[in-house]
Amino acid sequence: MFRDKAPWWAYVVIFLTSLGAVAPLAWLFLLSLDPNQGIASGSGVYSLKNYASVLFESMMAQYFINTTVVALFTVFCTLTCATLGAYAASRYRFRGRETIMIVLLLASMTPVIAVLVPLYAMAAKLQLLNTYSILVIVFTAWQLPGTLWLIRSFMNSIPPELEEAALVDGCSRAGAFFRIVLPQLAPGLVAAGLIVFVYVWNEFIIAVSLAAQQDMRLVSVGLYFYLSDFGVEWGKIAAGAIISVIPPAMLFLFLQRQLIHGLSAGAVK
Amino acid sequence: MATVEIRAVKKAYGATPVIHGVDVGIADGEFVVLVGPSGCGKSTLLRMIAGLEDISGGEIRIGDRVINNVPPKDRDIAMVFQNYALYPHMTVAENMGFSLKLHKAPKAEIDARVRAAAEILSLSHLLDRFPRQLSGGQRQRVAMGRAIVRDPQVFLFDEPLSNLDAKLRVQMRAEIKELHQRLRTTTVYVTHDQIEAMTMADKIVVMQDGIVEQIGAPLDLYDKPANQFVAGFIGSPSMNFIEGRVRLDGTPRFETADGIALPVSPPAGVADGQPAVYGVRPEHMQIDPDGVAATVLVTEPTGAEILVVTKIGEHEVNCLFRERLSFSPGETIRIAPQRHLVHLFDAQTGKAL
Repeated sequence: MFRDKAPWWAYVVIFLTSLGAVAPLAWLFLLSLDPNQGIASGSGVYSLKNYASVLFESMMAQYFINTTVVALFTVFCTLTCATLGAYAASRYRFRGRETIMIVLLLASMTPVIAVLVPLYAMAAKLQLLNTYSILVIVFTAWQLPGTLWLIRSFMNSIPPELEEAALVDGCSRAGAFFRIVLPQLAPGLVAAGLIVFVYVWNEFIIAVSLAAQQDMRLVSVGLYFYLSDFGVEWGKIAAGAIISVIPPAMLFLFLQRQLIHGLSAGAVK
Repeated sequence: MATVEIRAVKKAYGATPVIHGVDVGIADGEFVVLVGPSGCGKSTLLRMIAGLEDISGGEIRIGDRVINNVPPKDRDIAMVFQNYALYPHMTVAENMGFSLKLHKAPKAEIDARVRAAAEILSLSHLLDRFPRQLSGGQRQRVAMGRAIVRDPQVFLFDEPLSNLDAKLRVQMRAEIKELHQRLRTTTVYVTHDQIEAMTMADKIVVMQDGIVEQIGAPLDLYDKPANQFVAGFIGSPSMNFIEGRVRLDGTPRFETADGIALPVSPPAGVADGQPAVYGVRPEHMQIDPDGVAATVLVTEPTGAEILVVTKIGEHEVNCLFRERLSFSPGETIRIAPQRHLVHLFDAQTGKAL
């Protein structure tokens, strides 16, 4: 393994890069503690007033619930569909298999803006505007290709002999999948699930277009509306932003091990 | 335990046939080895017995039952895979007990049978480990343990030793053979290694390009190969082949195009001047002052024996001597095949004459 001591300039580069990543967050945090309404008032007064106001005096709590519900359902639907699709794409040989995979990939490269208007029209026609369902459906569709590719590559790294051994041992095809393949896939599913979860958490354009009604907003949309609802309340926006970072950050923290294991699976035997 | 009958079995992937009608009968308790070069269809045949590949034609019976359309789980077989295919998320004990658990055996019975199998394979101290914590040889044993715990009708082995180093392979070979002698379970074993085949089998099935070339006991195949392919495949180092014609005028002999005469006892029905292939095993060559002149190219002493690569005229001929002989490259020696151990093959069909 590569264990040479890094040269001094590597530390400088890493320090500056980290600073670049952390500094805005730190600044955001300071701002959220400033009860006065300036971007850099530097008043030296710090309080949790902004947090209290965001959590208890606005709809932010509702937005959190909305986002969590939509994110969890999206993760569930995406992983279910992607896993089944990936299983077929990995284990069965059929005509046009690779073509389908490529077309899926191409589809996922379409910019959101290009499909936004038709999506809105369809959602309106189906009377699904401002519902959890439309967000879950659209997010799932949007995330499915990438997730399917990701899970298929995990699936490909699981030797088919494991399933065959299970078949001989007494499993049905489905039994072999659930008892043998799925447990091997777990780190991959965690990684894919996290990616989808964070996507939903950060998504803005689709959410603001299809569910902008006040009680249906997602966190990202809710934050945006602080700009208009209360004038520009930087302190509250900052507090809301900080709060909104917490759930995905916690998830990453708890699932770190599986995530790294999942994303590096197959790299080294 | 049961017999296995393979009758006119064919396999095709789409329009590409890979097995062209194979017949093999396997007696109850027999150890049969399917051997052949890679791509000969031996693994496919084994996987058809296991139910992991569809059977395109013919039928396979285990005992009295045609199992063509029986799913693998209901065939009462156990299989050991080349890469062992141990379930990574289960301990050794769970791996071995998995099939019993699926068949809803009582926990006490599973425990007892796992323990008994572990005892046989010296795995008792490893039952709580995970596969990744085991060495190659131990994994191999667990894979075998998983098979014997079930006490199935038939054991199937798919090149189980090819991932082991040479020394371990020899050791496991003996263990598998010993296990078979103890359990007497009908066994079908696939390998490309003819030494494994020779040392382990009651009966060898030699395959090439999806057909069976010859079926027989190991020494029968060695002594009486049915054709040139089997003659070349069985035995190590492999048989020397020299092309030429049989001459029956005067002393019967085999004559090459460059005029070298070799001793032969031609079987009845061979005509004078008939083109043929002369086959002689390296170990059947001997030093003989009246033999033909051969130039030494390379010598490879192994201690127990010495392999000498020589050139007789245009033909490269390997000789294996048990004596401690020493030759230098370029030296001319006189050698001769043992006449009664020479094989003749038809020049066109390769069939033994």
